[in-house]
Amino acid sequence: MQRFIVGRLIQSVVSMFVVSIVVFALVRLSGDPIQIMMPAEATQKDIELMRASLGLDRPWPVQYWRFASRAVQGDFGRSVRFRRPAMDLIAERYGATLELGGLAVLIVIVVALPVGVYSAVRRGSALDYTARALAALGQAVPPFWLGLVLVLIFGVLLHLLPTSGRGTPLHVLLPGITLGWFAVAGLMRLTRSSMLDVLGSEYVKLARIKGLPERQVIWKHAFKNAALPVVTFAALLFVALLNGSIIVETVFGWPGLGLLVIEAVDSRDYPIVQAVVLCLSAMYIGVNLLVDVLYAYLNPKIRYSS
Amino acid sequence: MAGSINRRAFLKRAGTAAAAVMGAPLITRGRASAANDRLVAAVGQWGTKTPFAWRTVQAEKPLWDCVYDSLIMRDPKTFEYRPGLATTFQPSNEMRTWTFKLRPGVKFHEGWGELTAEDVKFTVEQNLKPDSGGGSAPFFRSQLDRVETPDKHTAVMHFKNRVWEVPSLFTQFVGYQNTISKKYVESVGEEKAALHPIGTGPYRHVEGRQGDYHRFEGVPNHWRKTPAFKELVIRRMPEPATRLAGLRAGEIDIGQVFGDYLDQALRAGLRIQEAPQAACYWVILSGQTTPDRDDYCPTCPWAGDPNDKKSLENARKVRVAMNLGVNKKAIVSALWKGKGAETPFSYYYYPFHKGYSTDWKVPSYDPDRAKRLLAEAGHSGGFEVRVNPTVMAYALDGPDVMEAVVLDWEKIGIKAKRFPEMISTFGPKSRNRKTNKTHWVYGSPPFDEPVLAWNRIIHSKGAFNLLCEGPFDEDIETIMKEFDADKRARLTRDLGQKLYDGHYGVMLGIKSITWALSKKVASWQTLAYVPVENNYEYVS
Repeated sequence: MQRFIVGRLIQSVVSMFVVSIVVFALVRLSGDPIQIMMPAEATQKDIELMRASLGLDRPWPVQYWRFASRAVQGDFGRSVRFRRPAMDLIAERYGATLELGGLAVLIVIVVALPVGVYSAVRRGSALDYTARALAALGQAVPPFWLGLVLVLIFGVLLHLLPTSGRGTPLHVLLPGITLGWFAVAGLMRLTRSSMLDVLGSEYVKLARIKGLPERQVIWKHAFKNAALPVVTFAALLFVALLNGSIIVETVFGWPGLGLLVIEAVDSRDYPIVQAVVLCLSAMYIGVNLLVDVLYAYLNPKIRYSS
Repeated sequence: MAGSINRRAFLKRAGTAAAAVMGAPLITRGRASAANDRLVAAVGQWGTKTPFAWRTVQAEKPLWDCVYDSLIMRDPKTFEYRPGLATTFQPSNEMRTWTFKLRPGVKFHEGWGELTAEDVKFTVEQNLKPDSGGGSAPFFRSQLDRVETPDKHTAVMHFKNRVWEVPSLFTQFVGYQNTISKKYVESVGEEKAALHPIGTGPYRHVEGRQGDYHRFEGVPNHWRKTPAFKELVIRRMPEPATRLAGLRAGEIDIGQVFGDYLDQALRAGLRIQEAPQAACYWVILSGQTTPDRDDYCPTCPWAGDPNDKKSLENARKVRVAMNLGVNKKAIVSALWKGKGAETPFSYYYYPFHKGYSTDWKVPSYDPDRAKRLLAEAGHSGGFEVRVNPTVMAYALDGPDVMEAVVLDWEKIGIKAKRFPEMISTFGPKSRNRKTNKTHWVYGSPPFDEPVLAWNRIIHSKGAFNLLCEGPFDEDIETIMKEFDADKRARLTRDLGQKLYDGHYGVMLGIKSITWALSKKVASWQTLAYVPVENNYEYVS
């Protein structure tokens, strides 16, 4: 097991290294940041001084080393647009993203898992058909449209919930539901199909023959085994939802990371783009590592085949 | 199978969970509505988030102007000068010296002391820093000799030359000089001061988050106007549908609406406030600059080679074609919902300016003639252009208008490649003439005289290049040196004619700006001709 974990850790470090090189290169290929930092009448000398002060006059490998060594300390430089440290801006927005993603994850888990299990157990029932129809609809409806409809109903017509912004706990409900809706549909379908596979297996039949209560058969024997693909999907989904959704954040004026990064891309604010992409990549890689370890723990076959 | 998970039990649990989620809002609070003493304005765009005069561009005005007072205010209806922080502003020494007498007893927020001449001097001198990118910085760098402060309430500015335009630089609009507290900036540093600006205006900055919102508090017994609303929240809401939803739900009190959203606001029964003829629109055809600039493009069909007369003639034909190929009436009727006009033609010439002529109309839509002109200029097969569909504070519908223009251009063979980039970074590139010859839609604010704008945007030493620069330096300098207002108006009109005839940009006309208001807003005295939110203290 230790060897397995060490192997996965090395793979993760290599992945982060590759990501950092790609981000570093792509950002520099997208344009010269000095262009937007200096006033029109700046002399060539002023420009050169600024370039030197930012270290942009050095060879790329030197620049990369400077970037990477600072990045591991959480220093991604100053935002070109806001003239503040990039990490400060990210930290300022991350709370909003966690709040939104957290609610979306909660909605997904509370709704998708039980409905998925029930649909599988009661296959062919009215509720199964309804849940499947809703799942199809959930994946087909674009989030911006759903968001606007929810705003219209709950904000404009019923005056129950705020239409945009962040402040009270009420503000997160509509964007959270909008963000979670799509994921609910996906996870519900996956749970249902995994459960259907497991429910037809010999050990579930044996459990029933043994006279175990149905609740125990479903949740202890069937669901536990059906949960493996669900765990993988849910873990990555969790990261995806935490990263926020650009569309949902735009529709609801939600001041999260998604909005910050899309505007940073639009405004060629490379310190923010680098910081956000690297942080998100680290999260993805970290969660993947955790899932791998969890898998290996749950299923020894994976451990030994690796 | 029975017992453990049946439909009834499942529905009961699911129903309880759903009720808890849906009912939570009702238990905690009825609804999120703006309090009666709070005014919420939703602004589509603000710029680089700095309140400092020496760094700012006009895009910051809807956000920060409420924190400051100007040395010179304006009559909201006529746009004429009125005393502000300066009770008088007099020239002497043939307009080489300007003396500002300051209003005594005006206090900076949060106990940062009384406004003095030292604060005015400090503010103005920040423009002299080499990295100052503000719109007035080039003027001060080239013209200001020194600022003297003979007493606490007198600031005397000495200029190297005779300059008549000085008052314009210190006006409520479009002057850039928000007078700041020297003591405050020196104490906390520019970076911190930018996040929490201190001014003398009718609203005090309380807190905020960059790119999201800022909260202000009305200053009691303000020397000029005590705001009717104790609290002002300015939220950045780029998405017009979200702004409209907020207005309809009563969460927002002031929000700009345009296009289809204007129709929807009217259908929803929202009151509309209009600033008629507020923003001159045109498409900036980048590349028309001087050889020492990166954007210089003698081979661009619309720019031409200044050393080749034939090339310049062809370039003019191409620009005329680019004008004729765009259906301006369709833009006015479909995108602006009729809230616009064909005159003035564009380029900062407003109806209140001397020399303004209704004869200058935007060129009519004539795609056939446009194609013929392109063929005559040697571009029968068309050519490719780069465009940036960007939103700017004075043209929130910039991307829509750009798209309309591009679709029309494609019909005459001009193919567009879209390179969207936010104005916060594209703007500096434009100022540095490093846009890679990218065209974009511009909406102008009003200046006291068109030449004051032209001096900034057409003169090759100006802060910006928003039309063409180089050919008219001499004309502009002649006008700027003319101290007789009537003669200046005649010269301005002559140059206006040259700009009109040259078709240097794609003239789209002038747009009226419309805001939807909540029931909480009884009246709002905005500044005439000003295309962005202003005068929040005059909302009642």
